[in-house]
Amino acid sequence: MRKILFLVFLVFTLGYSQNKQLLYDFHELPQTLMLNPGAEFSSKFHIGFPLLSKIDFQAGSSGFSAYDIFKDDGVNINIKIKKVIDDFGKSEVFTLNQQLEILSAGYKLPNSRYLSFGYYQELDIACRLPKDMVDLFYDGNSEINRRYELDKFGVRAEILGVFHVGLSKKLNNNIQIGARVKIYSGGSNIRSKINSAAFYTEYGTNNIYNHHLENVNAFINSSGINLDNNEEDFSSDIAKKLLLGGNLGLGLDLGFTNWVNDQVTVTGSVLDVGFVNYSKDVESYRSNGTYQLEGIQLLFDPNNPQDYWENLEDDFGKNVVTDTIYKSYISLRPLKLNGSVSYKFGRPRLDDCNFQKYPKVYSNKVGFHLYSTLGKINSQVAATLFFERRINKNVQAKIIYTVDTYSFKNIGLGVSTKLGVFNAYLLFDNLLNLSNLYNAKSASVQAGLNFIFKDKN
Amino acid sequence: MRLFKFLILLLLIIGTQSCTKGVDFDQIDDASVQTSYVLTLAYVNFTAPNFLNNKNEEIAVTSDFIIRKFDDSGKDYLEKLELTLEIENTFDRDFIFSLGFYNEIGDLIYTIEPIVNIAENSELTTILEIPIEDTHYFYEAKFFGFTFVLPPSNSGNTIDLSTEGSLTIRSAIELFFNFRLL
Repeated sequence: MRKILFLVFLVFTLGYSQNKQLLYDFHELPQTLMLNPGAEFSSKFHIGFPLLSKIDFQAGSSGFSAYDIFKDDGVNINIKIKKVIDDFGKSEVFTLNQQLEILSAGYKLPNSRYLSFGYYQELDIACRLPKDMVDLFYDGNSEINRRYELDKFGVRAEILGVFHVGLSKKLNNNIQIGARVKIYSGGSNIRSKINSAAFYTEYGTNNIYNHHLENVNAFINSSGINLDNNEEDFSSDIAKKLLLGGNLGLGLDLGFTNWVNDQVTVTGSVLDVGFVNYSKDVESYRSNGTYQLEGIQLLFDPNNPQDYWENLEDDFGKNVVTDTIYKSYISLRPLKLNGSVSYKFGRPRLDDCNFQKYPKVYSNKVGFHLYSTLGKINSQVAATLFFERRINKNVQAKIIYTVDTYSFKNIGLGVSTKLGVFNAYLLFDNLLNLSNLYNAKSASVQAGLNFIFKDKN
Repeated sequence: MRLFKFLILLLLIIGTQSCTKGVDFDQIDDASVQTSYVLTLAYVNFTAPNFLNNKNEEIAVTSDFIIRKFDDSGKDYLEKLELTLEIENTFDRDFIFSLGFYNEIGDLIYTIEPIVNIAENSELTTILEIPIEDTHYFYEAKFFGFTFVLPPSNSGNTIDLSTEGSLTIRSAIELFFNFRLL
């Protein structure tokens, strides 16, 4: 139990989003095509090491870190929990995103085209928790006339497999475009949002208290969450659904690279324009209404005994109507937008012979990357300054500095090495917190192995 | 580009010094959230006919019951219950009020102590507590029974249809939880 708690806690306190600022535009790596299908990547063909070509883990909390609660400072943990709750913002976002590339490959086609395809598994969780909901749990409702606004609550959790195929094409010496089609195979999904709801307790007239639940407008959609199944059945069921055995969806990535001149490059991409149609094991609820409860008036009428509890439930049901729906539903994928401008400079010292064609190779690249994600639970913007350097013919490195909603001091480092056709890379951000990982509110790690066969032409 | 190499080296040194410092996850054993929730409960508003039978004769006892249908959520974390009663009696008669828990076959398994004596023409606010060792009865009960006993009057006053007065009881319950690792 403690391990699970620790894991959950760590997951909720390590990182923040799906921004892959280190990988974006890192054109040594074929995985950059997953962030921009029109990215500059050239080889004869590439194949990722099965299951190890990309392991990506990002998670986080906008509010606090594990260190805030578990630091060994002699202070009682409950005092530290209280402080975390006191410092809780109006609402905080918790996210987890994990991707495992099972298969990844690509092949150069005639006419400056590059085909890439593969399959990866993704787990994506986002939860927005309003402070009022935390207060209601932590302090109870004994503060009379305090109004708890619950409308910022939202949660989305999804596990899916993604089959994809992408094609990039250089239109001319200045522009390369690309697109990637994705078939989503949804394993399991739950999403819920309270669009509006408020709860408060006031002193009553007929009774001591009068509870109010106002303007409830909320929904829960779920698919593949069958709590009656045991763990083994559940895992096996999910595995089948991840391989086209369940809920299908369609998505599209689009991107471009524009070489404005020899040294200035502009790129952009839009990812996951798509949806999953959840149709298996669907159970959804939608609630609307307003209710107030002053208590149960006892009648003491032996000739007409009442089932007060049932009457109460009926009355609640009439006022806050909850519909149970078994119809399939559409879940939109969180949309991601990337854009960058970069400037190359410095001539290569060691590998001139490798790159004779346009675009001309420089040893350094400096630039600005803007990332944005749009979703019902969590939308955010992040800005990154990056500096990429070809250290020698086998090693390429990138340093980034990112500012986003949650941090102003995110520095990251990525290194890609090449030995013949073998390529390995490791990208991780929030280096300043690596000296104390538990104190990090944001961190992400991407690592992988590829075989990249360069085009000798 | 010595500067760049220096930066990378510096970042690697920072990053590889130590990944963690000074944390103690065993503290989770001591973590607890103590909180309480107030819930409105039952209320009654009696006039004379409530204490008369079909022949308009005064009755000695009257009861009513609420069937418990909520689940056992929170059972392991419930530490105490407090029942608050606000009573106003304008009858020239005393009453005795008790709240008992009954099992499925209707046997009384627990009575909240003390039983409340309501004096004639009185107002009273009282808090009755169910201590931690008795909270399990709250979940074991199938019925909650509210009982009024009308003891014989010392002054000879009896209640009939023309008797003026009322007996009102307003109630709330506060549940005290201690959420922690079990």
